Amino acid sequence: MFSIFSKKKPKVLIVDDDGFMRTVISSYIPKDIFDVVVAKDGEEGLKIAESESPSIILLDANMPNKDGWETLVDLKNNKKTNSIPVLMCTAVDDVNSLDRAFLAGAQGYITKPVNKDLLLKKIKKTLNMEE
Amino acid sequence: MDTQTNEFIAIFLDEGKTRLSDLKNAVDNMTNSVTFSDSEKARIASHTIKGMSSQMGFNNISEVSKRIENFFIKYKMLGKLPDKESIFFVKQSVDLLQNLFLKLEKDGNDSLDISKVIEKMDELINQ
Repeated sequence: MFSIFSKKKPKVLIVDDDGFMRTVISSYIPKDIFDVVVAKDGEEGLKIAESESPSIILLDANMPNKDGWETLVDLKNNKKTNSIPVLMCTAVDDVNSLDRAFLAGAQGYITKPVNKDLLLKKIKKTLNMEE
Repeated sequence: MDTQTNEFIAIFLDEGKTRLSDLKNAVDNMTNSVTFSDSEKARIASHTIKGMSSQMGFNNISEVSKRIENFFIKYKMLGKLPDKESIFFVKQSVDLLQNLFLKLEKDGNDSLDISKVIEKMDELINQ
């Protein structure tokens, strides 16, 4: 569990091919509480997940080349990254994705458009952080 | 509008125009020859524009790009390619999307009549 007394801030990795969404989501995460790293696609996300060992990964489902689903499978099949909780980011009208996210091993999901308060609540809940 | 919202709009326009250009190129290519590769490029570009615009509350851009995405999703699910006649109407939707971006850049809103394009795209998606 992370607490306000921990010196080390939990690190959030945002994986999204859309630079605009990376900027928006990153801006929603308070930097006094979290460190934030970003990746622009699934391949880069896998590399950063290995090297940075983030506390949590926010993974966009719909990306070109290696999409979020394939990236999630690779994360879960990698000893270095398989214990990192993943929240899949999916479009709000894509209900099929929600079931798929859990089946694929995601800890939860975030729907787009992203609500700032809900996003922080889900991140903190996933990391068992004190509110 | 606060500084952060203005900053988001500037990034939205910058990134959005790049995605719009990707979408336009793919659809223009398909007016000559329809391919799975261009169909997938158009689907991904329209999906991204939909996500960005819904995040910013630009509902007309979001609604038009959603129809374009759904059109290409339909054919992807069917494992088929759309015909050139349908692509003609998609091209009209992309032109409207371009006008919505121009309106947004000029006036700060995306208020244009999208009803006819939406009706035609819904017809294509549901047929």
